[in-house]
Amino acid sequence: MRMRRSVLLALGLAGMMVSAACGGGGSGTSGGARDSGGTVTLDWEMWAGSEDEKAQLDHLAALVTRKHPTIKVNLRTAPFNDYFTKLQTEFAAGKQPCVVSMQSLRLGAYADLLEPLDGKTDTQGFAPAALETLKLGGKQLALPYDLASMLLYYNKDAFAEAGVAEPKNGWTVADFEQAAKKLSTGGKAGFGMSFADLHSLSLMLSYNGAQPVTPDVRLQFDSAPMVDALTWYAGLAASKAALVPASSSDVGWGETQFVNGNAMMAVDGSWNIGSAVKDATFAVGFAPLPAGSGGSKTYLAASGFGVAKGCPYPQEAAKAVSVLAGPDAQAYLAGQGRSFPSRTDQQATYEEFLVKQDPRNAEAVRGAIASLKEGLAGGVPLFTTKNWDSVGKLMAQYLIQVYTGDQSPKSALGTIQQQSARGQ
Amino acid sequence: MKPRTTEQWSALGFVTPSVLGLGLFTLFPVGAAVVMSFFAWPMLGTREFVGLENFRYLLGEDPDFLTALRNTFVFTGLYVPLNLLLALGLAFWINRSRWARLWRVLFFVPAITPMVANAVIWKLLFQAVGGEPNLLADGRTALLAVVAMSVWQGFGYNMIVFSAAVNEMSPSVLEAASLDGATGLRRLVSVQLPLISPALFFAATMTMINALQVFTQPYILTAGGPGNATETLVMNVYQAGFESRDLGLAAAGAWLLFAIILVVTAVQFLGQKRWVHYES
Repeated sequence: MRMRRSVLLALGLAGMMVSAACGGGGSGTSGGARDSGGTVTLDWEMWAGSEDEKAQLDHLAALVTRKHPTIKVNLRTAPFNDYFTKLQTEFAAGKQPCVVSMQSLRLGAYADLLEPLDGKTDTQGFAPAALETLKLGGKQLALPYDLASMLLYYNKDAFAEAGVAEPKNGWTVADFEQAAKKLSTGGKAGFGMSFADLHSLSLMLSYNGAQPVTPDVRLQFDSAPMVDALTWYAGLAASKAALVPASSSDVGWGETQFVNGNAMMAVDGSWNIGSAVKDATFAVGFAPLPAGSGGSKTYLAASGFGVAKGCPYPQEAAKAVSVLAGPDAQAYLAGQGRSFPSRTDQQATYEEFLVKQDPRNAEAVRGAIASLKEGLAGGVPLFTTKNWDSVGKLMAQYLIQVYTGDQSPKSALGTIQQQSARGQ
Repeated sequence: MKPRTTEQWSALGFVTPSVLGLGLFTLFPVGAAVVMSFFAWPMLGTREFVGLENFRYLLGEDPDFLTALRNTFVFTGLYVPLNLLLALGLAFWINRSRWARLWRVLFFVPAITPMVANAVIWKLLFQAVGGEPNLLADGRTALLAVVAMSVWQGFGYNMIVFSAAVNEMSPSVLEAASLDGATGLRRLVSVQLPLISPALFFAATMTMINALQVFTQPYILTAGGPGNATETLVMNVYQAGFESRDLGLAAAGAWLLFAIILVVTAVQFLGQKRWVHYES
């Protein structure tokens, strides 16, 4: 009898601990707190890969308190690869931060969880394209701190050796194809292919204006222009002018093969200008994407800061976001070489950082920034659906089959469209 | 206090931590998963009771689930026999070698290095070997490549188990067998294998369970592609939970996988009466 009571006691204890562990998340608001002195402390979640990056972000947090002494920002970080997993878990548990760092490609998944900022923040001084990129359904969901376009990276040494004229503004798709074929010799390929969204879709967009997502954010992978564009893109592999990714898990294939010297051209984002110039053992050149029927085009990407719905101090959070994406913060980040600023006035600072970092390649860097700005003119935001993660996975699995010739473009795009219809 | 009471209290003290751990981190999540599988449970947003809808979708509509099921069975059907044969063959060979200890360490190394690191190295190897298209990008060879890598990674553990069992074979039985004229294949099949059959049973069961849960190797090597040629059940669950953010669907998939493993393991346990000999 006594034994049974002890067992009951143990079970009761276990039960209490279980309910204590589960009940913790329930207590009302999260992401911010006001102390007795009236100072509001806001949580801010951001990706950071090193102590240096963390220090930069701490500096931004301090800028907020300098401008608004009654607002404090409490920085929480996660490595980029874990950031969105952590963020969605926090939202699911009701423990989300007030200030959320957001990437344009993830906007679709988080649109319903972010407070629209229209009318609550000052949007003066931003490049219009950057603001546009962080809008969805006409609502400004985050303020951008950077801006990126896709560029054609090319191996200047290989072009000189093969006697092929280097890409320049106005370079057409036909020029690009011809160069890729001529550069494919001795086991090297003219172009490194990709199935990553920005990398592959930007070149298809430039080819014939094909877009996989409609302006009202519905998927249209199986539309006729997409089929034509993919047929052309996959044709680069069929004519042995391009390297096909070795597996569906090689998300960064084209740009990696380029820097390794196995592919003479690749499409990559402007965020890698500095690292490509530094890491490559050859001279790197940059150009806008080759122009198709409608001129050179590219998708744009941006990262920025938004306010979580349910934040108990939305006004303070909007103020904090304005400072974090403000001129002082961007001038500071540009000076640290973080990324190309979304504010036009601060963009030159970033260019100077890259030039100073590697003076021998000053010309290449200036060319890259010029191409980037050129890209912004023909730039289009890539709007993403709620299930864009799944779409990306399907692109990796099915586009590679088109590149290897195992599946027709029409059938692969049909599969992607059909399988991602649920949950868009 | 009476000695018995003290004993009971200390027993309780020893048992409580593991009961708590089991309850909190195993039984509670398992129970929660059952509940979740009957809900439309988006990671972000409101949940709703849907009865058996998740199971109906997985078995009827999901374009990937049945393929994932097939791939998982094909993987298991190739991986488990290859793994056991290789481990068994090497265990017998090693026990006759002068360098038995060295071989044991060498062959065990893949089993204790992190799976992710192994998979990344193999991916680089497959890339270096090249081929048009690459083995990992060709739907006909991708799953075979995953099996090859997995066998290399996994046989070391079983080899150690078999090696120990081979060492423990009763010398008197072996001697009696050889006096009776049993040699070669006859000796292996009728004497040695029955002697190590408990180890074989243990290894076969555990390897089968692990194989049905395969995730890391295809996730790193092929990401389920090309097409859905290497998509496995656990990848399907992961995709449902963390890419589609549909936790109810993921829980339902996990429960189906659990049921499959339970049945397969039960069949193995029932079958052991026929071929496993325990020394009484």
